[in-house]
Amino acid sequence: MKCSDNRISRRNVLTIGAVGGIGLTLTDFFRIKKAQADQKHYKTKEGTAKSVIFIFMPGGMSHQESFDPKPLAPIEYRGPMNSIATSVAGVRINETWVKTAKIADKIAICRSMTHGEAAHERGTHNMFIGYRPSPALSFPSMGSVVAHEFGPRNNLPPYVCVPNQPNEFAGTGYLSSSFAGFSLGADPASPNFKVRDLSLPAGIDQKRFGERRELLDVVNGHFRAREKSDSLDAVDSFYQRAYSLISSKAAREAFDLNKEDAKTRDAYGRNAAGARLLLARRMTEAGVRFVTTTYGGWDMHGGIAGGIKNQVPAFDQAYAALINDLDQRGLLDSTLVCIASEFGRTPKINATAGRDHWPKVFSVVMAGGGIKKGIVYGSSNATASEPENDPLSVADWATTIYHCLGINADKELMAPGDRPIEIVNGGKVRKDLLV
Amino acid sequence: MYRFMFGMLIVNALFINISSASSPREVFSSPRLTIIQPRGVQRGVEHVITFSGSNLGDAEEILFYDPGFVAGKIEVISANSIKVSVTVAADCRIGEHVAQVRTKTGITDFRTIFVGALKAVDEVEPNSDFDKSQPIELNVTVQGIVQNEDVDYYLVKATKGQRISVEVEAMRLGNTLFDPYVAILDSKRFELASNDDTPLALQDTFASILAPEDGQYVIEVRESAYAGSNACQYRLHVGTFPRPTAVFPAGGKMGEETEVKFLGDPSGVMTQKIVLPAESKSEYGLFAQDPGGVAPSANWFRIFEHGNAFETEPNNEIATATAVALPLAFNGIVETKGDVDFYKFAATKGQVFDIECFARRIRSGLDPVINVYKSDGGSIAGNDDSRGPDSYYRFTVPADGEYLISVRDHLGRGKADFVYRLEFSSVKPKLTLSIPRVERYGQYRQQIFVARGNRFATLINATRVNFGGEIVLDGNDLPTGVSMHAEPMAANLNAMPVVFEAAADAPIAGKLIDFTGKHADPKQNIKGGFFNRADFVIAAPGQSRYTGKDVRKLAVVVVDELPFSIDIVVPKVPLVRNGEMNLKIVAHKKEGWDEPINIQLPFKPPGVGAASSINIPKGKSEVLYPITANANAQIKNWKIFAIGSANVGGAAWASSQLTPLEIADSFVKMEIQRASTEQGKDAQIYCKLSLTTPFEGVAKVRLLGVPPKVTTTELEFNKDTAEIAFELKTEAGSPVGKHSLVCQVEIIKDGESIISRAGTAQLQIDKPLPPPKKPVAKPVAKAPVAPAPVPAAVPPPVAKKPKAKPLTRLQKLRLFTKQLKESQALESDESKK
Repeated sequence: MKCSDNRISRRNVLTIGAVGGIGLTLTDFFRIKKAQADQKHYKTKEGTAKSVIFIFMPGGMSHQESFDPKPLAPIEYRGPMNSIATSVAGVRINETWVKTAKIADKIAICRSMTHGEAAHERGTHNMFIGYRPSPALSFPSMGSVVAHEFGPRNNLPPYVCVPNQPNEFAGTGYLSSSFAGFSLGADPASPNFKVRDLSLPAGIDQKRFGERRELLDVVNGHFRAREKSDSLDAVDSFYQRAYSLISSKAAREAFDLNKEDAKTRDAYGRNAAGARLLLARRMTEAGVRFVTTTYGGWDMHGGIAGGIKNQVPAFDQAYAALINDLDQRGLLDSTLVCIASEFGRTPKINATAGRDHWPKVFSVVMAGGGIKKGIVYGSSNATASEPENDPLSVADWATTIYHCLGINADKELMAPGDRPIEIVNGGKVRKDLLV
Repeated sequence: MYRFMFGMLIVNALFINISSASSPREVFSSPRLTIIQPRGVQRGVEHVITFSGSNLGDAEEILFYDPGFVAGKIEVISANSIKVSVTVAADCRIGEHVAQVRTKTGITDFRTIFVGALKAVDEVEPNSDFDKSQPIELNVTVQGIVQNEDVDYYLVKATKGQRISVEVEAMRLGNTLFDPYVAILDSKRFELASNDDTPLALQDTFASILAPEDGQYVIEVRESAYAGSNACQYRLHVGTFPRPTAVFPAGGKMGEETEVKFLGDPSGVMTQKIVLPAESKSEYGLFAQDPGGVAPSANWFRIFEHGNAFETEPNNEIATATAVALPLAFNGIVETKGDVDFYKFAATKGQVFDIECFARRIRSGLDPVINVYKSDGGSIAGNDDSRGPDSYYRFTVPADGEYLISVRDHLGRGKADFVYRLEFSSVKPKLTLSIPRVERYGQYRQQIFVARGNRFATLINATRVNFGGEIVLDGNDLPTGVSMHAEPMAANLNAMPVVFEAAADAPIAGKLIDFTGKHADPKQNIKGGFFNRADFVIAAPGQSRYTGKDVRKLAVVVVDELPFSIDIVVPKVPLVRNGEMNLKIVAHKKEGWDEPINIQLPFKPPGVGAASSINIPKGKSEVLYPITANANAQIKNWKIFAIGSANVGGAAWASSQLTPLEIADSFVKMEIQRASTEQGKDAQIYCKLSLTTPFEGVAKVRLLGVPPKVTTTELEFNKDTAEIAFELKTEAGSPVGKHSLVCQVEIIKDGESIISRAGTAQLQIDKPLPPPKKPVAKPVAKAPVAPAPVPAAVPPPVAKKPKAKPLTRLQKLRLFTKQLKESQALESDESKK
């Protein structure tokens, strides 16, 4: 309590007497210490999944026209497409997912994913972060949390976006910018695909590069002495990672699709889907911990049958090839491959032969990294409009992914204002999904 | 919709290929009109007008919606463009007009063209500097284009006191989002008047001054944010014409002569006497006219059934309210800041009035708020924005007596031209017919184009206001050889299928008709007509509509024969609730023509679902169209149609006949018991049948969605069967869990199947219970006397009655619980010992 007669407050006394020299008052110092002490902390150590390939289908992929067809529903719910049997007895998926049907015994289809956000950006926020959007806080994406928890491996960035950060929610949120995803900046499907700035510019040798680096250090040192800012630190850490990338041949080669043999490239398909997933496999194999990639546009409000027939075959081929490839290399058990979308589509076909936004129930697919194989987790009801069994919340789904990686999602990270925030709030690990 | 658009793209692509090969094309189909150039013409003069779009190569006629146009011979420039010489009558109404092109194979969208009184001159660049202003005469219409960051200057000469009026038509032209700005500058570049937007012209603009001196004046035209493009065409009317901002009163009684005042012109208030039309008109305007000329656009004016009353200022308070007698239209102006106009009127209990306040709807700047009070000042109700910014209130008079109504601006503003009208009328029924859009912003298939010897069909929507009931269409005034087939529209629906048929010898011609409908009960005397709203400029924010056009006539045309027609094979059996049916669609393809035909079923009775579309592929002449009915489908004999489209050099459309489709209740209902079993054991699903409609012969019933490693067989029953049981066999690997199975019944009648779902069965498969940890033999052995007879006695009867009805799920659970308790009791006895 402040003494009314004393012009120097207790807080000011503390300032004077304590750690003012490093720009902190003693109250600040104790507050931070206290916040840190209150933080829920769990030790993060590598789990069954050493890396994650997170494939996001922007726009809201129809669950009925992918992993949750309803062949027995009335025609307006069933839609214009048929279903096919898969390698798991009794499990049917949409007719266009021919190759995925053959590897269904290696993946887990979750048909009861549910949340309440029917707007693209809000649904996307959920699926990249594991939280509902909040006006008060910008949360870090799963990729950035993984980068924060584990850091780089084999000189490679821990979190990579192929080809670019797909949306604002794939960013670092309240974490430092240094945990941002490394964006390739070029589409691997392009014949001239080359990741920017991975090699020294033409005419610059190692010596000259070294001299330039020293010069840069002088300039940076000057700024560091004058300013304290997260972005400066982040830039610095980016440089450090870039140097280690440039200096490591193995790391650089992870980005080079030409190192793959023609047969593998053909198996994945020489298109956007094939190139992205193949590159994702190369990178996770080399040491990247979290690869985020996107494929297509799935906001099919009109003519859904045509849209699905256009988009799925290339992805189906690439995805099945990825799962088979990881399996053959013995990497599937240590690589978690997720297919997710911001939401599903309305149970009924609309007037323009499409489906609209529907977050109440939709499907996600998980494979490898400690997830059971050949299962269908949860189910939707007869018209694919609500979860019927084992509704899977965003928090539980994210917590399960983190669990596979070895991260306890109850762990708190420090958000601005010294607010410890759980990686995922209140999520439970769905043990039925785990091996 | 997207498919159609895609179809159009394909059509365009096809055209490019063919035209590049310079081989003439004979068949076009699905013509579209995108623009009429020039965007405006002078009346009393002959003009060459170009109509551009796609598939116009076989154009035959221009259909104008209003009199005053005589079109000459059509000259085809290309498949996408035609030229026509059009004489515009000297008395043609000034302003916006509508036209569309009829071709041998179709009818286009409608588009607008503007008629003015002044001679047109073209903009001549360079005129983008004040010093390089383009000299023009007064009383001309300049046809110009504003490019990006372009400013156009025009130089006129005027004498002191002469009126210089300018008005720009830009957004109104409907080409693109083009918000013009205009200014009148003196020779020293001082601004005498400038304007961006006005309540009267919306985003378009006008200005008017009296020249202060003899001399030169410069008119500046640009986009308000200095944007522009090739599409930013404008028509700048420059002259000595009056340009009032409002007319007062802004309405009058139909058929009467009314004196009106034009307000807002720099030369002062002008008074004119006008004889009003004898019938109500939805869009009507008055053109101010004096020796200086006629205004290039109208001031909007209401034609109303009742006469006018006028406010008498001061009437800002209840005590000074203007007394008026109903029913009337009250006319006033909210002239000054804070102005409130009060009226008082007498009304009797039970009277119901629709009170409409017209302000923005007659392009006044006022944003009105109305309030109704009792005579002592007690408030009854108020309204601000029920009609966009305008106000509306349905007033049911609570008791005999005097009432007050006030009008004010929402922000308390006032201006000399803030004109309003309060129209009091009884509650009237209103019927409007329309054709639903198939394109989001386009008019495709919102016309009737029926091929000779063929059929075309559409949905007709009806909007009923203040009434309900069945509606019948009149189908009068159709072109020669065209007939219409439609059933009355059910009272609970607002859409109905309508089929048009053209005789094989119907002349290839067409016209704009008054397509009308009425209440099925002639005593009601409720009639209504067709309405179509086209959107021309849609832009941000939120896909706002800036320019469009409403029309009240329907284009019905007979087009050339098509190489195909389609029929629905009339089903002999009903579609039952919870049932499904495959409608057979048969195509008749002319010899030598074999293209795929896309079939749609636009009208679905309530509760009926159908695939969005289905194809009759090349080489085939029929297809089965799956439809389903839900549990609440409305039981009735409905009429439906199918419409087919095929590429005949453009998309061509032909419909089936209006076909009966009976929706009936399901013939049999089933009460299905839940079943449970263990892996490797058998199960039975019992169904109790109750027949709602008797049938002959044997019906089949099957279970759909049976899980893997579970087998069952199809069963049969007849009208006398009361109960059936499905035998299900499971294996050790049958999936554990709850499984929903659909029970499907198929009844054959008149050689056709009536398929329905009689219900959902639930089958639970459990893992077998683990064997008990401790054999129960021990206690039995210890006490052989008492319990021994029980197990010995029980098995024989069970063995003797293998066909006994199996236990229900509930009974099994009870038995299981009982057994569990017994075994636990035994175990605890054991442990005690």
